[in-house]
Amino acid sequence: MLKYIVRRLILAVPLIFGIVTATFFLAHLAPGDPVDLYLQPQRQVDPAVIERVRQERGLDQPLHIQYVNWLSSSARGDFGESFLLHRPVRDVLAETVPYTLLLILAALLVDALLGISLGVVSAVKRGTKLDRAVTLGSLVLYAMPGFWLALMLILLFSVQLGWFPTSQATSLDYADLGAFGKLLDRLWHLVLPVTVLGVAGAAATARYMRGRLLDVLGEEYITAARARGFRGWTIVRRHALKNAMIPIITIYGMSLPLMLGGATIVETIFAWPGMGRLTVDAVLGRDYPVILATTMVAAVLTVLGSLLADVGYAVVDPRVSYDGSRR
Amino acid sequence: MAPGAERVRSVDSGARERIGARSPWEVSVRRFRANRLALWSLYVLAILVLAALLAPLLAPHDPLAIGDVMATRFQPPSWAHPFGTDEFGRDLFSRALYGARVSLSVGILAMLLATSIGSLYGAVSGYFGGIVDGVMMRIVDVWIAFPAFYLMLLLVGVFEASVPVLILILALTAWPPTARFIRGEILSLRERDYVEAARAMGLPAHRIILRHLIPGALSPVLVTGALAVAGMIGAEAGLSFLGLGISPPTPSWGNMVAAGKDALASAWWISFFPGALLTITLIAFSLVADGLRDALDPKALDQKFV
Repeated sequence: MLKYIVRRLILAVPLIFGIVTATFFLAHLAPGDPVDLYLQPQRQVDPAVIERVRQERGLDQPLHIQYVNWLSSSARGDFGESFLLHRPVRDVLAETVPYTLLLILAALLVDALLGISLGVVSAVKRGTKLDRAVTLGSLVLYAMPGFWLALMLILLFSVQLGWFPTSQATSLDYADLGAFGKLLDRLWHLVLPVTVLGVAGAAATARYMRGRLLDVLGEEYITAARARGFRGWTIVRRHALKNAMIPIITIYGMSLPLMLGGATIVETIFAWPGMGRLTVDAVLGRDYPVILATTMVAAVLTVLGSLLADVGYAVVDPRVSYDGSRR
Repeated sequence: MAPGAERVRSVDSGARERIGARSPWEVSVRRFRANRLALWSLYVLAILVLAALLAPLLAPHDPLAIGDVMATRFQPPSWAHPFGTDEFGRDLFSRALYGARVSLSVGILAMLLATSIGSLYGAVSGYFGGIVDGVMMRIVDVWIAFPAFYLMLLLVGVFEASVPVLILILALTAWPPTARFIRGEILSLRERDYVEAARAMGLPAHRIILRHLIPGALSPVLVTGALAVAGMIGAEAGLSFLGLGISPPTPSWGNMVAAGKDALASAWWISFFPGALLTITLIAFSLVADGLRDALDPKALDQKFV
C-alpha cells in the first residue's frame, strides 16, 4: 500500500514539473514583458524607471535564465512580489488559499450528501414522478451557469427574504462574537457560496449515482440477495450502495479543477477573500507574479486531488491491486 | 451520369426496402428523431440560431442606442421592451438578440477550432505511435492537469482579449480531451484492413490520417462537439461576466448578466433574461449531445428502428 502511494507521488513529480514549465512559458507568449504589460495604462512612466524595475526583478536577463531563476525560487516557496499589493506573493497566498479550500471542501460535502442521496432515491424510485423530477432538476442545475445561479439566489434569499448575507466571509462585528457565535457567523456566510459551488457537482453526482446503482441492482448477487428474502431498502443499504459508491471517488478527483474554476467566479460575486478572487483581480490588474503563482497552486492542487482520488480508490476497492491493475 | 446508373440505384434502394435494411446513418437519424427531448432541444437551438442570424431584422431597437437616459432607463419588462431596459435605457431584448450572435458564434467557432486541433493532434499521435505518441500524450497529460478556467485566466491575462483572441484562447484550453479521445479511436482504426490496404497502396501518412482515419472516428466527435459548444459558451459567459471576455458595449450574455449585478435589488430583469437564455442554450446543447450519443452508438441497436 505504502509502496503504491509513493509510486503515485513519484509519478506526480514530472507532471507538476511540466505544469510549472508550461505556466512559465505560456505567460511569456505575450509580446513585451510583465513590466510592459503592467505599466501599459500609464505609458508616461519614465523609461529609466521601467528599466530599473526590470533589473530589480531580473527581467532584463534572457528567458532561459529567468526560467531557471524562477524555478529555483518557486521551489523554495518564493513567488516574488505582487505588483498590485506590494507584498510577497507567498504571504498573500497563505491568507487566501485556506479560504478557497474551506469553500471547496464544504462544496464537496454538499456535492456528496445531496448528490448521492438524490441519486439513490432516483434509482430506487425509478420511473416515478420523483425520479423524473430529480433527473430534470439535476439537468437544469448542471447546465445553469454558476454566476447566474448566484445572482438569482442573492435576489431571492438576500434581497427578498433577507436570510443570508450577500458578501464577505464574516460579519463586521465578527471580532466581538463569542466562540460559538463566530462558528455560526462563518457557517451563515458559507451557505450561499457553497450552495452555488456545490449544486452543479451534486447534480452530476446524482446523475452518475443513479446510473451506477441501477447497474449494480441488476447484478447477480443482488438477485441472490432478493432470493434470500431481502427486500427494497435493505438490499440497497446493505448490498448495493457500497459498490455503487466506489467510482464516485474518481468523479470527485476529476471535479476538483471544475470547483477551482467555479470558485473564482463564486468568490468574486460573494467578495470571498480566497485565491480565486485574488486571481481575477490579478488578471484585471495584470499582476503577473500573482497570476503565475495562483495558476501553479491551482494546477498542483488538481494533481494532488487526482492522486488522492486514486489512492482513495485503492483503499476502498479491494479489487484494485496496488500495482494499479484490476485483479 | 453513366448510362444505367439510375437503374442500378433504384434496384438497389428497392432491394433495401424489401428487406427493410437501412444505412447506419438513417438508423441514427431515426433514433435521434424518436428522442423527444433531444429533438425539441434541437428546435430550440435552431430558433436561437435563427434569431441570432436575423437579429438586425428582429430587434425592435438599436442594441447600442442610448436615448433620453433618465426617461427610459430601468424600465421593467413591457410590450415595448419585452426584457425591460438597462441603466442606459437600452432595450434589453435587442441586446439579448445581438448577444446571442456573440455568445453562439464564439462558442461554435471555438468548438470547431478545438475539435479540429484535437482531432488532428490525436490522429497524428495515434497513427505514428511509439515515441511520438509518448511525447505527444505527455503534453496532453500536462494540459489536462491544468484547471481549465485558470488556464483561460492566465491566457486572458497575457493577451488583450478581442473576439478572435478569445476564440483562440477557448480553443487552446479545450482541445486536449478530444485529442486523447480521438487517439484512442485511431489506435483501433489503424489496425483495420482498409487502413492496411491504404498503407499497402503507398498512400502518404497525411492522406491516410485525413481521408481514412479521422472520418472513421467522426461520429463520436459529434457528441463531444455538442458538449464542447456548451462548455465554450459557458466559459465565454464566465469570462465576460468577470469583465475578462467580451467587453461592453458589445453585448454578450455573460457581460449582460454582469451589467445587472449592481442593480439586482431594483431591476432584476437586467440579469435575469440573458442568464435564462444562457441556461436554456446550455441545457439544449447537452440534451442534443445526449440524443446524439444514444443515436450514434452502434452497440445500442434498437430493434424498433433496424
